[in-house]
Amino acid sequence: MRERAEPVHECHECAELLEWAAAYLDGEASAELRSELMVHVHDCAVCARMLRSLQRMVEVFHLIPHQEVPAHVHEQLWIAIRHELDSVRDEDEEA
Amino acid sequence: MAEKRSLQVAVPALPVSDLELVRRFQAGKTEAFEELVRRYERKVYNIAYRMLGNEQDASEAMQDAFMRAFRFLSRFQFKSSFFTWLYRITTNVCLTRLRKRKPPETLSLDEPGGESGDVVLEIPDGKGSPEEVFRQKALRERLQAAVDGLPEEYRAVVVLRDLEGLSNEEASKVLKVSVPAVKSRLHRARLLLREELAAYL
Repeated sequence: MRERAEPVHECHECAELLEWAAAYLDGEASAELRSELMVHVHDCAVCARMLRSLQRMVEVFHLIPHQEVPAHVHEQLWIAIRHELDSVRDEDEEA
Repeated sequence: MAEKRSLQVAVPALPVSDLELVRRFQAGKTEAFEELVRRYERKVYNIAYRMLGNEQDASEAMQDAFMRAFRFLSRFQFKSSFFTWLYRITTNVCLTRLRKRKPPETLSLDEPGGESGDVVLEIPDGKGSPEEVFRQKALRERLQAAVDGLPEEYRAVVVLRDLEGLSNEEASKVLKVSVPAVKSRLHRARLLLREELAAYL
């Protein structure tokens, strides 16, 4: 059995915190907002855990590298594109 | 003087901008499209893979997206950057494919928990303890699985913002929704993902 997340609205200020957290995670929170958030998180363990896990999740997202296009997928794409380009060139020549 | 000469040599070697390639294409130089594909093949594939969750669908969606781009590029009006236009085509192709999938296997904020909605997205438990599973690679795989379980609109926002690194403004142009809508969808998506990944965070 995996752990379930805590309900996000366990404390009364959480709804407000959610708005702050979004701006905070995107680096858009003002200094004033950040300090209000820190005060709230200091007093509310549920929100503190939530913010930490959100922050970690977003960090991991940013670390996921791009995949290489598999060789056969790349080849299929270029066959289709060259076919499309050739048909346009043929039309131009006919015209 | 020497500096000036070297500058003169360097100028022709500057990479051509995307929009210049579009102009060349519209002027009849179709090979300009090949360069655009070379530039964006990997990006488009990754968006498609992250939206659709498997290689086969991602491959077909990428091909579909580039074919559409090729057919519509002559009508491109230079009102946006090329990549937001191409990413919009890509996400639209992916969203259409997702909508055709049945049944929808998505998480919903409107029906959290409860007996029937408890495990909408199945994340297999690791054989070891959560501590053993709690490693970067495993977490990445779980993230992709959780993204696969998001409602379509949320998925597109997470892919563009958190995985492709677009700004709120860029994502709003790609998805043709307001910046506040992007922010709110992203936040709701992150909350859903966090709930799904609680054991690993």
